[in-house]
Amino acid sequence: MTDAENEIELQDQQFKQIENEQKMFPLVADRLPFDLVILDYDAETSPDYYNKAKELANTYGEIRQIRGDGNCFYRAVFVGILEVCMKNEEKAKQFLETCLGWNDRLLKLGFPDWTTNDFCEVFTDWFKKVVNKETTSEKIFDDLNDDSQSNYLIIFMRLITSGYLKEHSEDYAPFIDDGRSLADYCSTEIEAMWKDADHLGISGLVLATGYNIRIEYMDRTAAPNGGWHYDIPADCNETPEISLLYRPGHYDIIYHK
Amino acid sequence: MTDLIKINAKTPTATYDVEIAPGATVSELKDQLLTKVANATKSQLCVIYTGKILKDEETLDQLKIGDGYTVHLVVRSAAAPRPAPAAAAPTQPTPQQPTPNIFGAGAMPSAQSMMNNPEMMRQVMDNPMVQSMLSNPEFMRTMLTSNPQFQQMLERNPEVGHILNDPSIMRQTMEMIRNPNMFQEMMRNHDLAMRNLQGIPGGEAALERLYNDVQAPLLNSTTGGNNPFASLRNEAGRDRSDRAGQENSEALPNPWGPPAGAGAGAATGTASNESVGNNQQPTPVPGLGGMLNSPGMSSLMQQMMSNPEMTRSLFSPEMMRTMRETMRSNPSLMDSIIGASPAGQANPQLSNLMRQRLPEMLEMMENPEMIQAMQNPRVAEAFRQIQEGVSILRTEAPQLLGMMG
Amino acid sequence: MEQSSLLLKKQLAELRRVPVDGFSAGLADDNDIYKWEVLVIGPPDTLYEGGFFKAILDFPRDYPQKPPKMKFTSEIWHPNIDKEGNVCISILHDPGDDKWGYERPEERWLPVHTVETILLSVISMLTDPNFESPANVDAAKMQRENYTDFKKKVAQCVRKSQEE
Repeated sequence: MTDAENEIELQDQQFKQIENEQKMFPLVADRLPFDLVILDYDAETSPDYYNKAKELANTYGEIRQIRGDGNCFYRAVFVGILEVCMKNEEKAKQFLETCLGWNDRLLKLGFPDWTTNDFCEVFTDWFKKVVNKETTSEKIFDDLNDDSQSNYLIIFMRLITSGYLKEHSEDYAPFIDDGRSLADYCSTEIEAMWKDADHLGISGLVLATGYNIRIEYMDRTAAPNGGWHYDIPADCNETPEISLLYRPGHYDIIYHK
Repeated sequence: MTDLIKINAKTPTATYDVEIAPGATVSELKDQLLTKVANATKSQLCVIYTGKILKDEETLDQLKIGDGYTVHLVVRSAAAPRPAPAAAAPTQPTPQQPTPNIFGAGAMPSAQSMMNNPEMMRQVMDNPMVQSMLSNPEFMRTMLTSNPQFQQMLERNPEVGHILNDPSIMRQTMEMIRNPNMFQEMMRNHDLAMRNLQGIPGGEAALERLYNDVQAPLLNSTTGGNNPFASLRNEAGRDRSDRAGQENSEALPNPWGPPAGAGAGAATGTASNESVGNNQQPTPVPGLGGMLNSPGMSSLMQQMMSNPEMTRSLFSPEMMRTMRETMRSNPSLMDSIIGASPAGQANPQLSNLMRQRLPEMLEMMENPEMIQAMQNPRVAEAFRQIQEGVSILRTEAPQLLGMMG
Repeated sequence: MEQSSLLLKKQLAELRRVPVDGFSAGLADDNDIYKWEVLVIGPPDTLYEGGFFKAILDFPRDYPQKPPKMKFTSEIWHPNIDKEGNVCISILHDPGDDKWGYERPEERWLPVHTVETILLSVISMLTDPNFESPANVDAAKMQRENYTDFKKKVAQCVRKSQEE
């Protein structure tokens, strides 16, 4: 075996290991006290993070962790939306309308009808049960934790994100800086599973779903005092209903006290 | 029988629909298809469904092939899979040249054996005639752009067009055609232009076809079987005696015209193989005549002839000089060709005639007026017409030509 | 019932009714929707013309999130098919497979791909091999350095496939 092959082999093992470790976490965990986040940091060795976590704990009471499989942003937002819809029938119906509308929007953009229709149908059929209360909260979270079901729904989220970006390609193309076309970018970064969302993905999903989000950034740049967060879209007037906690490379859902 | 079902059988180019009983066998389906598919025998038909080649005894209902269903139909070629492109050679005379050329009786030379003989290959490629042709970017460009396959590719991939306008890329492309090793080297070096060409759909295949259209015919032309001067010689003999006194401006035969008697080769292959064998090692011949005999090239050359710019560059003084020099520097060339030709051996008179004419022709080529005349597109056009006339004569009144010879 | 099996059943039914040019697909085992048998018809105007190449498509349970594997069971000599018959083209690789980092990333597996798009990619691979990442290094080398032998070898496979 050559060095290069060896290297690939080792990398492979590492990926497998990370994948397996991640699979020990549920795709969508239960809501747990936010204090758990504080426990992750040591006041002595990483005071920046520790302080930030403590500060956030004043505002947020709970956290729902999402599996770090590259789909976490899409999954977190989706679960956030679901929770809103489960409490508010009007909003649920509205979101169903939005999703039903996406089928045609995607086809119009040239997505292959075969598979696109399938993803759209599976998603809307599933979501109709939520709207019509033909399912229970328990069943919903079971589905969300079933790899096959859950990821199918995520594919839909990715497709509409890509769809929104493509519908507004003139606005977004300038943000792609490596010479790729927007279409290339979308198929590589958005439509492909297990790919982390970056800024375009975040914007796209928020605007495609019509749900604003607030992201709390847990990184070293965070100031220890004062609410340091981003609302997406930046010009939204009300406090978004969905809040996410960003820690480098990962998103979880957090809940106001 | 009211409950027939309709089955569509789809080939890459056509769809045939048949109406048949639901319980029919695959064999019966094939019988029905035979009435619609032209020029096929039953054993050539291959019906494919759900990943399987269907057996004759299976029935449609067993296979769950219902009304309105579509199956794949492949009509297998009657013979073995056709030969690889490099070895492809005309196997039948084209309708315009029904009479096998007496001198052109040649084994379809084995390009494959040439490929396996780097030394021989190098000789061919080092031949000044071949080289000067290949190293003339204008010539190459015109040749490439007039190649229908290349044109198609350009239409589909306009970005390749810039290659033609970049002399350095052109040069590399030519080098590649000349030299398969270079081709490999370039691939290894990941030369950007080439990679781009290969990266586009069909690019690789087009390159390969070009390679086969240009290089393989050059190789083919060297084994001595296809007498490169056959057409030259015939026309020279006939036309001049025919129109003695008129001389000059039109008299020089067009060596670039459509080949006479392309491909009598296959028929007399054995004989010429032997004669080549007798010669020990075939002499590298500036074999444009033979090259013209290859199917790809002859169409290409015909196109060239109808392109004035092309004709001019072909008949440029350098080209003529190279050709002359090649013939002069190797006086035994003609002899060996004449000697190798079974017809030449059988007819000593004819061989003599040929030998006598040779110096005359060489002289003509040296005549500046002649060279100039050759560069006149209208003259070239006239030659084409003469040739066409001769070929009609050959079909309609062979005995006449025989008398002239 | 898993989503993947529903999607596969739909595709199978569609392909049975209206097959796509260049290949034919069915189940290798009627009780296993995840294992398909495919017959690739050697594309016209290629060295593979005239051949009927059998292959197996193996779908994972988490299809279409993850791509299927494709393996030729007929002998086939091609730079992008390894000697065991495994097809190595980028769209059959998950985006997470970073060892294929030198390929153009947009060609990776996407959930929107179907059996049809996979097979069309395979057929275009037969027409235009990708030399950048050969799975059969010997075939790639032979194609470049000794094209005559390469053609012979492919022709042998074509003949063999006709007799199977």
